[in-house]
Amino acid sequence: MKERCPGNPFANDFSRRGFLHVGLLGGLGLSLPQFLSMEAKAQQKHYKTREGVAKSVIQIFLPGGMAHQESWDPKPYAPTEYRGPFGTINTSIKGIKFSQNLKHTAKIADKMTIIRSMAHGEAAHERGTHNMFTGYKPSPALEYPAMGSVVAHELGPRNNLPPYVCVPSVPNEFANSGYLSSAFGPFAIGSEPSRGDFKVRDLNMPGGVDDARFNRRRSLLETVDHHFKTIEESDALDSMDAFYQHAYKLISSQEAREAFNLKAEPEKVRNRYGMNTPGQRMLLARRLVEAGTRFVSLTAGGWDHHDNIKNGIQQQLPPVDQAIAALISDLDERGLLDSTLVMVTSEFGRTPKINGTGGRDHWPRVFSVGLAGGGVQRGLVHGSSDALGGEPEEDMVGIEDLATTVYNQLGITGDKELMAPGDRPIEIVDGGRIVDEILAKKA
Amino acid sequence: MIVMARALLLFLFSSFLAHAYTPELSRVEPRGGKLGSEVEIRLYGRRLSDPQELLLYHKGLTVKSLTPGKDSNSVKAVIAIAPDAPLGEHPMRLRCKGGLTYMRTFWVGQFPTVMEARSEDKKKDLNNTFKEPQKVDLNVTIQGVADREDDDYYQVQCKKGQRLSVEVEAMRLGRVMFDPYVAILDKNRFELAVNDDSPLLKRDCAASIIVPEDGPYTIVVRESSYEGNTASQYRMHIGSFPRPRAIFPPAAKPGEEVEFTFIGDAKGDLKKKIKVGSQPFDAFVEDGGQSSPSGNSVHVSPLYYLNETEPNENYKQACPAQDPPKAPVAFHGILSSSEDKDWFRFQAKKGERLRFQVLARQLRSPLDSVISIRQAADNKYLVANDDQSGGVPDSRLDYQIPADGEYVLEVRDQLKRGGADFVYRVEIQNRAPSISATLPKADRVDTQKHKMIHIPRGNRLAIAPNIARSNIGCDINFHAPNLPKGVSIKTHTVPRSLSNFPILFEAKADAPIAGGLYSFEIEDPKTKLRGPFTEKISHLYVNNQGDYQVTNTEKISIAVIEEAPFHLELFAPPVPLVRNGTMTLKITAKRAKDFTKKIKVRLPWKPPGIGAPNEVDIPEGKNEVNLILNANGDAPIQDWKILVTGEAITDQGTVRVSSQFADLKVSERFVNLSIAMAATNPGKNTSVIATVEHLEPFPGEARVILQALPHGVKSNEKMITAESGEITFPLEVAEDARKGKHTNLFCQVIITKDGHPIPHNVGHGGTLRIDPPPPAPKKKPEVKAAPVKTEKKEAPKKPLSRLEQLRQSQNQ
Repeated sequence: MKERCPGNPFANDFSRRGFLHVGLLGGLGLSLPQFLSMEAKAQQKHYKTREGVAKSVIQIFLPGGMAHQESWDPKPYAPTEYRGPFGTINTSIKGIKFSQNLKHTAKIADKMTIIRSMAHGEAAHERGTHNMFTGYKPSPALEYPAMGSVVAHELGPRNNLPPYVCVPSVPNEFANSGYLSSAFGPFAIGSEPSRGDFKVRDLNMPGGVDDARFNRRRSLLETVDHHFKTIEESDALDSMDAFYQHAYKLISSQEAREAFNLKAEPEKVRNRYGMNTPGQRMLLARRLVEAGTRFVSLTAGGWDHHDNIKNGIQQQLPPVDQAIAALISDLDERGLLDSTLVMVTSEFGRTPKINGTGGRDHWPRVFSVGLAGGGVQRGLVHGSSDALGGEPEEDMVGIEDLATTVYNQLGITGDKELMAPGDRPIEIVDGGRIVDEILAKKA
Repeated sequence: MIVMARALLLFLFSSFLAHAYTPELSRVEPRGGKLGSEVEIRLYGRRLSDPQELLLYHKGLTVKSLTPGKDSNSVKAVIAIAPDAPLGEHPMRLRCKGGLTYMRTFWVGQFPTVMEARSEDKKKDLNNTFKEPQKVDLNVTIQGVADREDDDYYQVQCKKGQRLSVEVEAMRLGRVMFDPYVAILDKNRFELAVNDDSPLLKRDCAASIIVPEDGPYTIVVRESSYEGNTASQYRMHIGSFPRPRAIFPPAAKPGEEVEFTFIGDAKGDLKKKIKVGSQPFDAFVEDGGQSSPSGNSVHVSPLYYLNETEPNENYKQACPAQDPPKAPVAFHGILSSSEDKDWFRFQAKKGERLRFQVLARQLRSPLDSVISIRQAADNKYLVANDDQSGGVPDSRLDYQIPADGEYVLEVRDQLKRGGADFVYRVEIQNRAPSISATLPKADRVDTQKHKMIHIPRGNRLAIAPNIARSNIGCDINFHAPNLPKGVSIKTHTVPRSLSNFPILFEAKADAPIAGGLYSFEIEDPKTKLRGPFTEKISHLYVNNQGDYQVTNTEKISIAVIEEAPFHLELFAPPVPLVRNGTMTLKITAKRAKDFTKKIKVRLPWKPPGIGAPNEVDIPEGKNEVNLILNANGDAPIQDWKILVTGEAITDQGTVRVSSQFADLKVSERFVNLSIAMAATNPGKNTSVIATVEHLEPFPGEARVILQALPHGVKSNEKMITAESGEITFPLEVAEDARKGKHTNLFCQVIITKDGHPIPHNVGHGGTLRIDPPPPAPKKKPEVKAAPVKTEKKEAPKKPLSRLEQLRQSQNQ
């Protein structure tokens, strides 16, 4: 059977008869573009969304490219210039060591799956970021939606909360809705949770506005919007409408608003995560998924350690380590871990050998990803890199595989096609496989 | 040596004196001055205590006085600018007792400096609108700042027919990334001339007009994207000076007198005869008693050259028509119109390996050259090139001439542009050997880091320069004809296979606190070919984009500074470092009495094939650290000299010193091992067999440790002798042993010689597979279990290889 070129609606077999048929339709008032559009929609691969094992995802993205050697995949037996400046620490998975700076996470490693054989081959920041956010390699022809947007599109909001939230802001251009309507874009909270004056913008009514006045304003706005809608058709209008709806729901729901209220957390819990940027961002993420947000994406630190990786890691990793361990343990204690998939990802790994300025450069040929909850196995290391951390040694996992697996655990089939502008059906993930080996409970 | 020991003794008994190390000079104010004047300048920075002198790279400036500021954050200097001082950039460094600063620049112009008008509280400019410009005289140099979204307007009164020129020095000042834009406006705010970037001035700009009528003219200057900041300083010359955009010929021979034509001035071409020196130079032309603020680059070379004669638009017209010159030769030309192509004819001999090098953008011409070589007889195409000159679009071509005869060379612009200033030179010459050395970059962004050689009294500092060889492979010797008093160097011949090597500077304990700018050379000991020791100071560098403002010099700054609070000693064991082996170096610090800070230690240079951690620390209050070297399997078998450099961040700044040289011998390993694959199940003990290959005899016994075993698997170390052939490691495999294929097993073999260990890491890639236990047999449970047990007992007697185990299992 001939393989269809993904995303190309013209890649179907057209017979002469088929063409005549098209011509006939034209005569009946159906133009060729309309026909092709119908064809495309008819041929679109469709799968029903299933009940997922994971109800939510917390994506912890470490921008810049964290060294796998200094985190999940140390190489204690490699020569010193490969090994790097740090030692190792035993984890709660027997026989598995992490870099010494992951001391908190090491203790809860038995709740996690570590993939040590991720690879995507893209050594530029923006390309690596694109890969990890969308599950696709970048294309000049199409902007792909971030995983969060696909989840928003497929699963929609829950408990009046935006389905896809970025903490504190949209971290990069690839975290957006891509070819999907911007209605499925992320809700950026726009404020840093670790700040003392943290307050999510637009959650409360402006001073002096009561419910009645608010409803009057809303009704007036809807009248104006309706007028525009009758004369203009635009994705921007639809998405504005969606944004308003989200905003109304947020403002009108005390529970939803409360999800953003970090001050409601006991001091002890806040301290457990760490009173710093990664800690409070992850704590907020937990509150959000607890309240119903489907997909929370947050960043922590900057990991582009071309120079002096020793200092960089010593400064950056301890708070992130503490926060990750606290988040996973906290979710587990609340019974939320099995339904929340925590992903700790980065753009790529870093070079096996320490460079002349004591750093490591970009290395996408192998790196590691940490996962916990959402049906993934507890206490598993999947795949391995070679003795110097340069290539996957066994069980390589591609970005498509990771994305397919994450979607699967949410009940979304990666092979499903979504409609891009121009009636182009595009698979949610192109060709990935579900990495069954890492799953304890498959959706 | 005795002197050094005495110094050390003296040093150890003295307590740590609080000097300021690594003084930092951030800027010089004002940024420039007028020819023939005395200027009081202020040098701002940190740790500028005990200023000793200003080191100046060019002639023409004299330091009249140098006065420390109230604190160590500034120094005042009075400098006299000679009337014949070269216009333009004058690099300088401040030398204090604690060291030399980074290079900063001072700019010499021909006009008095006027500061941009600011409000009394210095909070806002007073020249931000066209309606309220700052009124200035003609022939001044303005020093101002183009802040964010800040237009600066200056108004001058001009007479009809007068030339009005402006030139801005902004990016060239080298302080921040600042791309300026300038425009000359008439009284109705119409633009008469605008300029943003120009090939002549790179990102800086210049504009020039002939004034159409008497009246006020306004000059506006700003950051081209309105993205300036408070550090976006500019010096703008406003006057009636000439501003030619090109010069022809673009090159000359040393010693000849040439009448140069300065092309592209608002008043038309200008001519000037110049006696050419031996070095490339900037040519200035004067008109009406004024000179252009910056010159036009002229290349100087002894190569015979010919200027083009038009028409030479095709191969038939290639010039010269008669008696074409033999290579080596150079041609000069101008692509004067958009369709212009220039053709030249030359002779070359079969087998000549010629380099065709265009000098155009390198001399600040707008030309983006493309060259091609063809046979003169039939115009048959041979070879062509567009860009190959590393960062500039000038063409370069290496070509071996196929046969004796005449050839033609075509020059054109890649974008089919042309103009009066599209000047170029093409050099055709044999590829000559050349060598040069330079101090390496110590930091990707901080491009001046470690470019100053500070040698604390009674101490040492090593540098590891990079060596470039072109068209030659040779050993290199380092020559330092002059050094500060009391300073000596230790170095060795650099083998031809290496592109860098350490040089150790030592200062006697009583060496005077002094310093200066010194010239070094490198030499091929065989051919006596010499090359310069150059320094490229990058004032503005953007990662992944490169340099925006550079000063090239052949002067290296060296200073003897006050004593450092520690000495370093390096001890290498008197045994070889073997291939695939490791060696532990011991580094000790002799600290001054009160000095306890952490010392970061690194190898400034590593022999080929030798690896080491980037940095190890002698912790605060401690005096010793080990640094482990490892040699890869192909490390050259050779004797080397190595040393370490330590850096301490003291309360008074950062100070660096080096150890003495220590000998390092790299040799072949004594033994090699190959580990046979083994497989087992959890809870089932097995053995790993390693075969020993003896490469060199060794005395006594050596310890062998099986490394990188997975969780739940244990093994004891074994001993081997020079006669051992096979080692068997019985493995204790626990029930919870980690399942999977473990492929990174290797053996550490530790041979001891004269009491010193010689560690080998050999047998890499050993594999132990721990398979899940086989499913329990459904039937026949007990009868067959007994014989298996007896086999198990016998197994340790005669260890079986993996192959034997498989055979055995097949037979069962």
